[in-house]
Amino acid sequence: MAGRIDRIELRGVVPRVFEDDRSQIEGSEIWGKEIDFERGRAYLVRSDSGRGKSSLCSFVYGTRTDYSGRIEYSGEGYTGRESAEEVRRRHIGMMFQELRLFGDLTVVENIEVKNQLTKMRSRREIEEMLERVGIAEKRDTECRKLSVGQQQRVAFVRLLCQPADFLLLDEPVSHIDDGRGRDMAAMIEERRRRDGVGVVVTSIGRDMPIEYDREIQL
Amino acid sequence: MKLLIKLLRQNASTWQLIVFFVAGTIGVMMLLVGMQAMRDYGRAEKAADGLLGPGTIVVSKPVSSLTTIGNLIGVRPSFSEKDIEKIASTEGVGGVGVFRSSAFNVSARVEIGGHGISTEMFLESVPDQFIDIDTERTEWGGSVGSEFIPIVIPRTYLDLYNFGFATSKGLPQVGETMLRQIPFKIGVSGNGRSRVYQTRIVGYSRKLNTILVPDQFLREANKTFGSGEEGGPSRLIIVSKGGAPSKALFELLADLGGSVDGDADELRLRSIVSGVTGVCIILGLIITLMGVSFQVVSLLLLVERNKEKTSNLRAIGYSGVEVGMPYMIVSMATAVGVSLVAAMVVSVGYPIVTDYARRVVGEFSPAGMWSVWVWAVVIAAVIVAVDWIVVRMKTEQ
Repeated sequence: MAGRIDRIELRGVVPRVFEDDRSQIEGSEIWGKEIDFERGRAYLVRSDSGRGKSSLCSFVYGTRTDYSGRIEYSGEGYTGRESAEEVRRRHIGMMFQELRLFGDLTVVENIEVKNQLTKMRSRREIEEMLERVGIAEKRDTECRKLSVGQQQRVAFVRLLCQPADFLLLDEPVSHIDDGRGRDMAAMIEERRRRDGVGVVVTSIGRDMPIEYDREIQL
Repeated sequence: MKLLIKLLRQNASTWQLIVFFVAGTIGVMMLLVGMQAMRDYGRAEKAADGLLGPGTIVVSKPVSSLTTIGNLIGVRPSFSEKDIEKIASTEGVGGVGVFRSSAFNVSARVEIGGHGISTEMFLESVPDQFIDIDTERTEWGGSVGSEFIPIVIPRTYLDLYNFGFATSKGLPQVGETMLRQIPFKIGVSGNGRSRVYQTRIVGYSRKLNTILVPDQFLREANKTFGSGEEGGPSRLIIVSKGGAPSKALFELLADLGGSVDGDADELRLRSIVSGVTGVCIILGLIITLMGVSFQVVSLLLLVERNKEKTSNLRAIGYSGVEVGMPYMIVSMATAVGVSLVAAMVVSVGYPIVTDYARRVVGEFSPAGMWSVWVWAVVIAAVIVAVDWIVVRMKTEQ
């Protein structure tokens, strides 16, 4: 992969699970079509449940390959010049729907596990982000003891410890109230303006309130 | 790394680690002892001193009343050249040497505190390759023209003096090394000539029950000081290939009327020592393999229990190597610990055993203990390598 990913290109991508029943992807603006996500722009991917939002994020993030078609990153394959780890450390960040936090570690430790890899944030910056999403007082609490909404905020802060060309957020505010959702959206917007990252957010109906350049039906 | 260790050790089982440590240490210890014993066994065989020498037997013509009468009329029972050829061509025989006796007068003289003690004696020789001392490491050799002639005496002579004569007379006992330091002289005469040689005991034989000088010297001395006529040998030394003498050899010797000097115990002991060494290595190998397998399975179980964490770590950007590192730290710590403890115990304990073995079995120079440490490093490296392969396989998935 080149030094920077400016565009993620999906070319006729269809999850294998939908290949036998194409009716599942009828009306989709992504599955089986050609679509580009560009750096610096924000995309909202909407759909009902079961239409493959998490699959789309996993395909783009490179953790799953059970699809037909092609995904290119500025014209190259996923690991064109770098390892998958490098892509996940420097180019694409993802907030998983299932969060993928470590229940045995505290809030701060969960964030440090990522930040130690990327070395992107200082301890002070991490504390500030925790304050902004309203979870600073839980910094030393083990994640398994937090509510889903609180865990979502931990995963969100962890995502922001990722230097990236693109950030993928899979239903990031599904368990978060509107106020906190707005705080998180503001942080994403700041990041987009400052670093020019591309943002892809999926939603089942509860949208993260940022200024999207395009809304796409999956 | 600290966080990763904290994260991945949650499912680690201390007792599994302890079981591996104990089993592994015992296994590696046995393996190290076996390997070291194997080296020493080889060296003892090479030194060919005493009970661990190659499958050698000494055969003589038995002495009876008729022999005594025969001697009086000048007839001595001996092995003919034909007999010797037959023996040499028998299956399993690696070599046959004849005992040569001195055919001249020999006296020994030792000076103690200005007083000289002298005694009549005799000398014999066998070809150098049959002598059960390390002739390469001793000053063995000489001819009639030499000033110094080395002597090998039977170890039983020393034992006889120390445990029989000295004990009963209240005289001091003497050790092998001390006796070697005492210089004395042997005078040879006959055929109108005489000569005195400096001499010293350079070794002790367990197998050859006679006073030995170099074969080359005795051949020349018999010509110079003797009548020049040597009778046929009444004793032979026979070396068998690959350990024990064959059944065919014993049958032939019975036909030839030869009597085998008592070596059955020695052969039995040799097979026991060799067997124990083999068993030690095999058992050590089995226990080590079991220990390592147990450790590998424990490690696999741990990686398996941490499967979700591994998958999450990989998903947020950790490489398989980074995720595997905490496991490898545990692996290296246990493998190095096991090998270190085993090597230390063997380094301290093994020389005590070899010292005892040397007293019982006879002289040989034990192999250096460095090999124990080399093997310990190799074993630790193998354990770590196996663990690495297993961990990599699991964390790369």
